[in-house]
Amino acid sequence: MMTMTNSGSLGDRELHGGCVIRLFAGAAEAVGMHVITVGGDEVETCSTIGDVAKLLSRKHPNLHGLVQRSRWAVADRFVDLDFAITFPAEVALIPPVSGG
Amino acid sequence: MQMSSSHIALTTDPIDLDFIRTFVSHPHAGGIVLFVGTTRSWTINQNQPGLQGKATEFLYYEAHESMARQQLSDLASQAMNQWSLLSVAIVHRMGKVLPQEASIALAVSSPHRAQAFAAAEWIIDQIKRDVAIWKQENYKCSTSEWVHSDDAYISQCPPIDVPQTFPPHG
Repeated sequence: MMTMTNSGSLGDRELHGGCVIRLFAGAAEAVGMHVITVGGDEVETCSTIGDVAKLLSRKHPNLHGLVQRSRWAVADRFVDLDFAITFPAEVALIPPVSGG
Repeated sequence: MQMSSSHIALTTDPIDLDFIRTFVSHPHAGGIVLFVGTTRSWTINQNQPGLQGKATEFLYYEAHESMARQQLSDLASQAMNQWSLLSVAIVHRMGKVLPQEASIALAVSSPHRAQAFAAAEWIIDQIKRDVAIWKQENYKCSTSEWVHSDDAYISQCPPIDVPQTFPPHG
C-alpha cells in the first residue's frame, strides 16, 4: 500500500511502522506531493535505501531518471544505497542541488 | 563578537548584508570576505549558437530545511577549523527572489586575508555541490523548471537574444 499526502510537514504523523519518503523540488513536482508513505507489504521489501529507490521508481516511472541522479538522506545526513533502514523510517530523496 | 562563532540562517526575508558583516567582525580580524550570490536575469543557452537565452522573472528556492541548516553549520565548523577563522555567517534566501536580489550571502573573518578568501570560496563551492537547497527558474515566458544540474535547462521557452551588455561568462 502506498498512500500519498500533500503535507510538506510531517508534524505528529504516526509512521505505523512504515516509511515516509520526503520529496523536494523537481521530484515533488513530478508526483505532485512532498511526502509519500509506504506501508503494508511493501515495507517488508525495503531493507535498504536502494530498495526504497527501486520501489519509488517502480511506483512513479516518471521519477526514475531523477532518482537515478539523486542522493538519499536519513536524519539530515547523506546515506549510501546500502544503508539499512530501521522502521519506522523517514528518508529523503535529494536530487542534484542548485542552491547558492 | 569576541569569540569564535558562526551564524546560519534560511530566510524568506531579504538578506541583511550589514548584519552579516557586523556579525563576523572581530578585534583579531585582519580582513573580512563577504560573498553575495545574486539572482541573474538571464540564463544563457550553452548549446545554442550565438548569444541567446531565457529571461528570468524570478527564482524560487526550496530546501530540506533541517538538513540544509545542519550542512551549513557543518561547513562553517570545518572552515573555521581548516583556516583558523574567527567567525562565519551564512544566510540563504528561501522562496521568491527577484533579479539583483541576494540569494545567498556568506562572510568570514580571519587574522589574514588569504585564509578569508580561501575559506569563502571553499564554502560557496561546497554549498553549490552538496547543500539540500534547490532553485526553480521562473521565466518571463511563464514557464518554470526546477534546476537539477547545469545542463538541465529543458523548458520550452523560446530563446531570445541576450542584451549585448550581458557577459556570457564571468
